[in-house]
Amino acid sequence: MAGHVVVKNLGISFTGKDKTIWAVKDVSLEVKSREFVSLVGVSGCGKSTVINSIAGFVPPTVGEVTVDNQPITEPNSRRGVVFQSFVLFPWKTVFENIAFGPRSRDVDEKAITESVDQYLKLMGLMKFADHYPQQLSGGMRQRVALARVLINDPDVLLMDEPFGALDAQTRIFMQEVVLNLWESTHKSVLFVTHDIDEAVFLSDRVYVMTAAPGSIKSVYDIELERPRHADIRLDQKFLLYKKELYEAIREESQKVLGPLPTF
Amino acid sequence: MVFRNFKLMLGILILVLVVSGCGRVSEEESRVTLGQGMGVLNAPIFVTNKMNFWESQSLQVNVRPFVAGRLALDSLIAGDIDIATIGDTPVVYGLFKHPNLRIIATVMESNRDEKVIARRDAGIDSPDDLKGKRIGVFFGTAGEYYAIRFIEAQGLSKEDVSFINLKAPDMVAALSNGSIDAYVSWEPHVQNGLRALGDNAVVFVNPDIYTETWNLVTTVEFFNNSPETVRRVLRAVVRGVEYTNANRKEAIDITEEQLGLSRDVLDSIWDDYDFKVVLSENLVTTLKNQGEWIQASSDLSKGKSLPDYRQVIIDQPLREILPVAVSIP
Amino acid sequence: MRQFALRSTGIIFLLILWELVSRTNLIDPGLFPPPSQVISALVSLTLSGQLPKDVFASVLRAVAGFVLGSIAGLFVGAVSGRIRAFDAVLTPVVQVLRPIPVIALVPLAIVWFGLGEASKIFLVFWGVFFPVWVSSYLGISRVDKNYIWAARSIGIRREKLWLQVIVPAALPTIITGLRTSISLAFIVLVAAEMAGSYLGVGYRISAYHLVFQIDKMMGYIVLMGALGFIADRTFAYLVNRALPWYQLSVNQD
Repeated sequence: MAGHVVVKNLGISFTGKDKTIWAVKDVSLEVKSREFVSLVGVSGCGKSTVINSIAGFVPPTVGEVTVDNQPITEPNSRRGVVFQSFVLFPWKTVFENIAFGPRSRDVDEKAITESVDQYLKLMGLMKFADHYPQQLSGGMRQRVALARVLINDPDVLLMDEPFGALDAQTRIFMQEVVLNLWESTHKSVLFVTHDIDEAVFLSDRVYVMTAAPGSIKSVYDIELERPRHADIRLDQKFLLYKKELYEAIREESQKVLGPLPTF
Repeated sequence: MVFRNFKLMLGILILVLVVSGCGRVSEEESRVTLGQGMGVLNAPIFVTNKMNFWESQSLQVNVRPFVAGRLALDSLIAGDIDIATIGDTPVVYGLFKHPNLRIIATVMESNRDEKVIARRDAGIDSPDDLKGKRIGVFFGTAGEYYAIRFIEAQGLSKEDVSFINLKAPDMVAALSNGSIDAYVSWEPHVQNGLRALGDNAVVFVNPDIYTETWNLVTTVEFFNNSPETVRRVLRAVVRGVEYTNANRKEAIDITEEQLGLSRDVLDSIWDDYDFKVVLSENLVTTLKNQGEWIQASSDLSKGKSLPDYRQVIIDQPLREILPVAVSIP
Repeated sequence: MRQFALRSTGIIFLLILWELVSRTNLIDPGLFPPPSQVISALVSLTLSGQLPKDVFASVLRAVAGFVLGSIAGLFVGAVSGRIRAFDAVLTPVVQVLRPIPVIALVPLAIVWFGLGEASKIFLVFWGVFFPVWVSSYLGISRVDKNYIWAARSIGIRREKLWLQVIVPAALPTIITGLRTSISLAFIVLVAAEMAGSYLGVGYRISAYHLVFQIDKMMGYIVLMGALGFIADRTFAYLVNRALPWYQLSVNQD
């Protein structure tokens, strides 16, 4: 069983001009194999920093991050990352973007074509194989980004506010795409968002972070039956989870934004 | 007492006012911008500037130096300057397009200013060796006309050599690094070439082909607007020429300062230059000869007849100031 | 097609206006020859064989200087943009030399290299090197780190990062620098040829100026403009052919 992520007492600091700024302080969390876990928090609390550290982009200042008991030293295709801004390569076509991973590993070109076609079909992008990302809508771009990661068959999927740049309709559509994918592949997923509804809808467990410098404020196990469908949002339990999470987040956002102004 | 003093003071005051007032009426200052082509041939103007003979003519002269009279001519045509010292060749060229150019006096004549300087190691020991060589020439200047006449005097034609257009100061470097085999120019550029090349240089002079005139040139418009200014400029330059001829050592010192040639070198070539203010038949002849040469060698005068070069010369102001200097009818 | 017609209209109108202004003697046609006269000067210069030689010489110099200057600029810019030690050593040197206007070096180039090809190519090289260096340095050093992260997390090896990610990501910035350098190459070349040469478009402009052959001078000036225009369009065409995504990225921004 691969894809077991453990973050223990993680702290990450950046050295500014004349002071050290802590982006996150004392974060501990766990994504068990095949679990879907969300990390929510107010803007600037350090959610992305946690993701970047697990991805291997940013080394921990203190604490440790392990996947399957191995400390992380550098990025690796076992841990796929999906970014809010898609980060597709504009100099490559949709096909070439998706084929990027296997080609980097010098996989046989015929095998690559087959598996890219498979993902194009899965994502409904067959007609756009030779388009450049700039020619696609936001939702399509994020599907390309997902395919580009999934084709490497990673153990862990790290998603950093992947739908933050999409409109509301596309966003809901993409949530279901991800959910379906996860149901069928059962990767371990760590999903960063500030959208409570999204977190509850997708996750087995939700971690709430405090305002900056972020640490874990509370944890919620979401015991909603799977497979889930859109109408679960009207479920009483769903709404209760949302309420709890909403109150936890609200406390934190008031620390950042101050109390409501009175008129 | 007080009353008498007051009358005296008043008298003095009136006297001062009248005198200064009169002075202002007759000696009103004129401003003039003078462009000067740089060369030994411009020595009398250097002297006039340095001794400020302009001042006694109530002239405020703003002097602008140009690498060549040819370039001063562009400024004159553009109206940036009022009067310029220029050789005859650029004026002849310019008249084809700008019939308003006028010569008001010649300030120098020389048949030894322009020279050919060549590299011996390019296989040039005599003028005949110039055949097939690359020769630097500043197009549009007297140097170009001299170069053509020089080549023709050797029985060669323009096609037998390759003339390369170069600004005079760049010729020294071009000859030094072997980009060209020879060049034709006026002083100080030939002396500078000699200094740079030393024994490797050979200089040819043919005094029989061309007597260059160095002239004060203006436009019809400037003369018509400011005839008095033109007369004052002439008077100051006449003094400058007289001083140059009477004080050889000082004139050489002043020229040295302007051109950076050593006193000894200047002294050795000084007699090649005949500094004098004149308007002579030689000027008309040389203008006409060059006009015909340009007519024959380029399509500049296509469909036009040559101008009447006598009409290009305004002799009346010089005739008033120095009648003996004018020998044209 | 319609746009082409519209664009031509402007140019044709300009030519007609120019012709009329000269023909009606509003301005002395000797000083401002009409286009018909300039064109006939260009034709006769072409027939005499002189003009093709000049164009050939100038284009060769521009291309040689541009290619060499671009390669050097790209290389130094890329290396100093990505590798700290090179940045520390090279960048100050480049920054000290960069403010020297290349035109100021024209006389020096004649002293060093003479009037031949070497001085022209050197000057164009110098003129092209710095803008290309700047664009290459900035393009390479400011590659969005997300591109590198994304590539690394889908399994690219470090040594492949350069060609696969860093260079293409920097290309839009680099292409802008290269395109600016093309017009710069021609400016420098004309200045260099005017200062001293055996032949070339700039050389003729200067030579005809001195002997008041204004129609021929204008002919060569127009020709210079045409060469610059053709070079720019050719570059744009080649870029769009070689990098079809480039135009898309530019339009998007």
